[in-house]
Amino acid sequence: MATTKHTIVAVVEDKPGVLNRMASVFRRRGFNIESVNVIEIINAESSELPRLVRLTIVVAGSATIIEQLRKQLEKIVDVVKVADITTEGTV
Amino acid sequence: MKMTGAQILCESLVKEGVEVIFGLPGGAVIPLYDTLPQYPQLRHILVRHEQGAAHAADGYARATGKVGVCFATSGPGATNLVTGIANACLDSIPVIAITGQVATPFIGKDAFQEVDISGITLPITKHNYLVLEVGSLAKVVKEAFHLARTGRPGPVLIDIPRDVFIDQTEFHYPAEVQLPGYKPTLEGHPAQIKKAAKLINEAQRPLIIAGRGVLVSGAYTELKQLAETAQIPVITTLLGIGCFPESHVLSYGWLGMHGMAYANMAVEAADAIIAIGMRFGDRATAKVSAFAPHASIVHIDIDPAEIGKNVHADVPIVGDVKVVLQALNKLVTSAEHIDWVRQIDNWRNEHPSIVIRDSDGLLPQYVIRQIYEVTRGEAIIVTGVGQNQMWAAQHYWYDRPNSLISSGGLGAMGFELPGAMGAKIGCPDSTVWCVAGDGGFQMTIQELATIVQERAAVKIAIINNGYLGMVRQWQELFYKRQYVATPLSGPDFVKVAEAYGLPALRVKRKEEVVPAIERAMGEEGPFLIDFMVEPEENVYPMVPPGAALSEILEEPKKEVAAWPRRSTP
Repeated sequence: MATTKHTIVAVVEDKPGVLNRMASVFRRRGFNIESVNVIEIINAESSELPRLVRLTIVVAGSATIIEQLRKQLEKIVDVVKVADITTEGTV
Repeated sequence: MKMTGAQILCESLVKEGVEVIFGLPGGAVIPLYDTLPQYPQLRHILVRHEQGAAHAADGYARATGKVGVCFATSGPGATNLVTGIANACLDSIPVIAITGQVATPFIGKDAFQEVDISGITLPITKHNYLVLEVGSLAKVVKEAFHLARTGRPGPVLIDIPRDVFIDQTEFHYPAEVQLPGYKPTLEGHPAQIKKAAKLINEAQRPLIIAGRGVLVSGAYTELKQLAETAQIPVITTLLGIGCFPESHVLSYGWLGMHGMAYANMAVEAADAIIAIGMRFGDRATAKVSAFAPHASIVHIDIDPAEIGKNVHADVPIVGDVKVVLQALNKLVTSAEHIDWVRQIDNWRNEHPSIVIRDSDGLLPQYVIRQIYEVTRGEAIIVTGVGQNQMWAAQHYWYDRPNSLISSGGLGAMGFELPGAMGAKIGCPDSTVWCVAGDGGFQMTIQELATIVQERAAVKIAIINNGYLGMVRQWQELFYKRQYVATPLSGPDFVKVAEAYGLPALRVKRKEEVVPAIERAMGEEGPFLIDFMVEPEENVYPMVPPGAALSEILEEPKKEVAAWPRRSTP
């Protein structure tokens, strides 16, 4: 299966260890993370809601395996949502 | 009123309905243990090794359907839990492991008995916590129990530093949890359920493979209704055994490496497979590329990450098995499938798979069958891992849910004795038999002391062949009979049992089997029988490693074993 670069966006709770939990999923399957970007999501509506962070991760792999990886990331309790936003031809 | 962290933990456990805790104290958890006498409703069982605590909590959870709880201290106490936690994780068992940690000012400084147990258990828990301040403790416990018992169950570890047990705060137990990243899907997608129903209604050779998810969800009647309405043969996974009565006319045993030949043949021939609450583990599928080559697959599971992980699903349905089957049953039309059922019946006649060969010797299969006869199939059987496990699964017939308790995913030898202890403490009115091998039994043999101290009336059958039997079998079949590091000598298990204070018998001959089992059943307390079985008996059928389910080996005409047998004690 063709290996291509995938850009994965994850919205996660802002808690210690969450990056470790996610990295562990990549490590276990032998994936090299090419880049990761972390940014806080400002929630203007309420300070009661859990604080969230957005991660943008670039990783290379086949579409099937990346989809499996996406689901395993989403299984982490502190991870709210994960999407593969890779689109061909985007600069 | 202010409470200490230890009190808050105990109050929370009481609120979650906990009745039994398996544990062993140490420095970091003395404040917690000091608080236990204030909560007599929490029965603490003192194990002899923390691995026993984790396995016992696991066995308790499997037998009762409740959450199992274990305590351990920091450092070695916590690391000793690891095998038990991994075992619970791979088999989706709700277990709460509570570990002490060094006091917060010492964390990260390599303090005495400090390990990063939340780091260590990260990949083998459903979730874990390090509680750094007493104010969050109640919320953490609430979340932990919610996570352990809902969705796809699993172990949750809570690591609590010594000072957090001592610090005080107001106790408010939250009514609800707030976990934005955790919302298990219960209802299957209606369009997918419709697709599945169409596939089932049009199938000529449908087959149900039922797994542990059916037990977790309690979907016995729904499964039965589906099978009976459309006359679909049912096979189970090893961990699914008991979710469909094995005496049912549509029951065709279980699949996999040591499953029944006819069950594996049915998988091979089926044109539609309805996989319910199972994960297509490699011991069940054998060579995955050759699995069910003619079948379209409906896969029902609550864990989206299981869909398409090992086997492609033509119709995936994410949801709770019971809820999905209720919806599916409304759309499945009644059918007969007479030829198909007859075909599998023929295979069963030609390849009976679980026949005990004629022998004057003491065969392990015969021992299991006699335990079945004497207990009238009403016992809870807790097994070790390896040959004893396969024989216990093959030669006892399971008609009731959760009556076979076995380490499936992790395959952890040493589970049998503490697992059986947990099951017996959880179900004191049930007969619990621990079926052990002489290898695995020695891995957690110290729990004999716990069993005697707690008067847990576990009946123990050691299938003693003087070998690490399953490895020996592989060496015989695939490694030119070079028995490297598999022969075991001793100990004298009868003397060991007596030293621990429980009565025991040794059985060497066939005619002694039934009287010994009856004697064990007649004892009020625990009892041990050391069955000296044929040393080189193999488990058949067997799918060789790497082979397809269709390449199953059946029992060959056996030459007389020439391998010298160790002297018996």
